[in-house]
Amino acid sequence: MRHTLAAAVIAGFSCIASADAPDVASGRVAEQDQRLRYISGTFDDAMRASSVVIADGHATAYLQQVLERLFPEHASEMRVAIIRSPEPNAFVAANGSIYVQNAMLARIDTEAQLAYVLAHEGAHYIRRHMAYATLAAKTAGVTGLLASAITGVPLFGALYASTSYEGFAISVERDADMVALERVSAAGYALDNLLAPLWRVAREREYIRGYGRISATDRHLLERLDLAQGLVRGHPAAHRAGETGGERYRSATEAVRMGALEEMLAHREFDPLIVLLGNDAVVESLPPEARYFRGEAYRLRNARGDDDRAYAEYTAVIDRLPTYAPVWRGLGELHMRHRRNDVALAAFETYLDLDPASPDAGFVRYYAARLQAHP
Amino acid sequence: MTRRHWAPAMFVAALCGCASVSPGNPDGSAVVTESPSFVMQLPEGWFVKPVPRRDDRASLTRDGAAVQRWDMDWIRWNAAVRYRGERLRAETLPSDIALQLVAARNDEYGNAWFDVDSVEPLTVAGHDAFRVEYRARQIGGPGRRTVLYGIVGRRGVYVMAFEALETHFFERDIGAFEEFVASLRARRPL
Repeated sequence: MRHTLAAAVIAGFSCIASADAPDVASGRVAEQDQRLRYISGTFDDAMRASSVVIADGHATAYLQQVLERLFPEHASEMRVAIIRSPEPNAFVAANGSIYVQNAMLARIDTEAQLAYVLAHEGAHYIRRHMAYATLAAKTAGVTGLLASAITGVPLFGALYASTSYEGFAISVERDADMVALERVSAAGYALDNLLAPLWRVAREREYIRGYGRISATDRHLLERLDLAQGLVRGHPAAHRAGETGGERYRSATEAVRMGALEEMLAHREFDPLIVLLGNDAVVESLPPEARYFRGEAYRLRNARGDDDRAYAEYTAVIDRLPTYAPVWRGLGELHMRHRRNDVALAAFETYLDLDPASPDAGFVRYYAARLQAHP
Repeated sequence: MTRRHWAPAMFVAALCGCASVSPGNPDGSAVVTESPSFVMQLPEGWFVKPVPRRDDRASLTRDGAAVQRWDMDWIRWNAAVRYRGERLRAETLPSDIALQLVAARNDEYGNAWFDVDSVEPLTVAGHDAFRVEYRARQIGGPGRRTVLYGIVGRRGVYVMAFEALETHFFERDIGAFEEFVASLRARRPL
């Protein structure tokens, strides 16, 4: 009897927990939405005050233009900003503020792919997913507590709550993917290769953790990508010719994408940098000096064979852009590690000729002096 | 034992993690560290706060760690650099070690971003060293500036970092910190 009652109560709450159909507009959702909009305004202020938002007016205006093309009826409500972060991600607040991390932009190489990311975040906003998610989390928590109380098994409730919420989160992401696909298609973008940036992120994570050791978050990403891929393949416009906007994207976002590589290097994200810049489409979408960052990632990671790989990247940059100063410092440090002092010294001198006022010029002069004293 | 003898002894105990209460520093006393073996002159009004279970780490502050702090840390070669998981390698160039320590510190404090303004070589107490200066900020937090010294020795790197709110406190206290670093004397080679 006790178990029948437990099952009945849990089944009842499951319906509420999985009441994820965003078309159901209830008073509770509207109320929750209002609350979250207020909090989001405070969040926006904090983001602006912390200088994490990149002040690149040209790139931001371009992203905003793409967003408005996708959601013309919400143009006055939705705002997009680019923020500094070594993590590839984008997110939306309940008031329609979309934040795209510059590391995400570094994984994208066409406007159509950018449109998909913006449309996905925009879909969360127009479908009020944040309000539903907050209510679902609350319901799942209450259900979990009740489940534990009724069954007498403490962990059962926690497990039940987490799986119930997890199911909700997956369905919300799928809903956002469906809306995004429709919006991207309606705006006239090509649907092929739309998910390439997300596959890149998944591959990087797979590379870093090793096969068979992916985390729950990565598993969700892979599952979501499989589902989204299926949606794209089955879409009536899947084989229709559409706009990709590669050139436009590249020129408008080049500076922020190069900034993302700097950010990743400063945060010592060596493996992601190596994988990302191992992708031809990404490298071709960036200026030639981008390969310097891969060279630095190899030199600093310093695993077996990395020095040769770093050397290949540095020389590839020098062949195409010999006036790019940082590559000479990297090359000098690489030669110095192998005690090839004369070539190291020549590389350092070139660096100092090209950029005598760089923040690390003092160190390079110090290394050069040491090499001169002990040739 | 006179007061003159007590104060340094208290600081030794505090830095070694033996004292449970941080002593004040009314007179401007000497800080003595055993591992590595250094003596430094602490300015008036600064407090030593030992780090639990780490006899080679300590923090000092005057108005509270959220306002300004000096962190001292002894990192041996091949030790994991805090939360980064990377190891400190003796064969790494000092300029690269400087940036590695900055990245690790930013990770530890959860900063949204950081920008390195300068990194330069110098000598501290007869040892090769580096000085790196950077700015950082957490989401919703005020701007902070840090000056980090790394003294490179045979067994590892001794780190002395000064971090303070960018507004007012950094400018006010940087001089005292620079004097503190300049007062460092090695009793035995690092």
